Amino acid sequence: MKTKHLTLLAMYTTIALTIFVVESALPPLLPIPGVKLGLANIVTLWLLLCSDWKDALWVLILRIVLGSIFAGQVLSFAYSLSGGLLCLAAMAILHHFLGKKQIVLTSILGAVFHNIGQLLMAFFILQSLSIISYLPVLFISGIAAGTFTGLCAKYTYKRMGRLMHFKSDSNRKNDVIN
Amino acid sequence: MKKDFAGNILKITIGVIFVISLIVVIRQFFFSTSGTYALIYQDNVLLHKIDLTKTSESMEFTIDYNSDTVTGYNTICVKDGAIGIVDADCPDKVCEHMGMTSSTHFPITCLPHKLVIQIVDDSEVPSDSPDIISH
Repeated sequence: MKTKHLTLLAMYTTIALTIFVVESALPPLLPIPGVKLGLANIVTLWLLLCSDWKDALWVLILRIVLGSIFAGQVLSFAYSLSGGLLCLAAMAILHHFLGKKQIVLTSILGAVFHNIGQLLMAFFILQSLSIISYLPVLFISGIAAGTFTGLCAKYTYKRMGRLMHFKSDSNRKNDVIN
Repeated sequence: MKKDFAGNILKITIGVIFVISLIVVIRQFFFSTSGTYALIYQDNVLLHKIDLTKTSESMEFTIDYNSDTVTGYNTICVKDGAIGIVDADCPDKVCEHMGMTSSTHFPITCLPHKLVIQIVDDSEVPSDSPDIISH
C-alpha cells in the first residue's frame, strides 16, 4: 500500500510539473507580474479532495523545486514557494471547514492568497512599497483564475473522484459533490 | 447549515473585494494622472531621476544588473513624456510587455533584475537624487 501511495504521489507530481512547465512557456496574459492562470493548482486541489493536505504539500514542494529547475530561475523559486505555501495553507484550512461542496470557493481564496504571498515576497525582495498598486489587479486575476481552476477540479472530481481516492476509505460516503 | 453560512459570508466577502478591486483598477487604467519625473530604482537604490517633460526626442540607455546569481540588462526608453523598458534579457519579459507609461498609478517592475520605475509628481521627488538625465 505504501508503494502505491508513493507511486501515486510521483504521478501527481509529474502531472503538476507538466502543467506548470507548459503554462510557463505560454506568453503572459497581462503584462503585470504575478498574473497567471495557475493551472498546476488543479493538482493541489485534487489532492485536497482525494487525499489530505500532507500529500498536497509534498506534491506542491516537489513541483516548485523541480519547476524552478526546469522552467525558471533562482528568484522565481522564492516567489513560487511563498505564493504556493500561503495558497495551500489557506486552502487546507478552508477545505477543512467548508468541505468538498465549496471547492470552488476554496480555490478562489487559495488563488487570492497565492497572489498575496507573491506580492509579499516581491515586497521583501524589492523593498519598495510601489508594487502595492498591483494588488487590485492581482485580486481580480486571482478570483478569475481561482474560479477556473476550482471548476476544473470540481468537474474532474465529479467524474472520476470515486475511483481516485487513495488515502483511506473512511470518507468515501461523503465524497458526493454537486 | 453552519458550513453554508460560512460559505455565504466568504462569497459576499469575495464579491466585495472583487467590486472594490475593479473600481480601483478602472481608476488606475482610465483615470490615471501623468507624472513628471521617473525614478529608477534597482535593489532599492535610486539610480536615475529623469524629467519626462524635458525629453523632446527619444532617448535610450541600458542598466546592467549584476548579482551573485543573476546578470542581465534592461534597456530603458524615454519618449514623448513616457518611459518604458524596450529590451531586457530576463526570462519572463513582463517588463517589456508593460510598454510605455507615464501613469503615476502603475510602476514598471522587472522582478528578476530588481528594477522598479516609479513615476511621480514634482512634489514627491526626493531631493537627494543622484543625477538628472535630460535632453
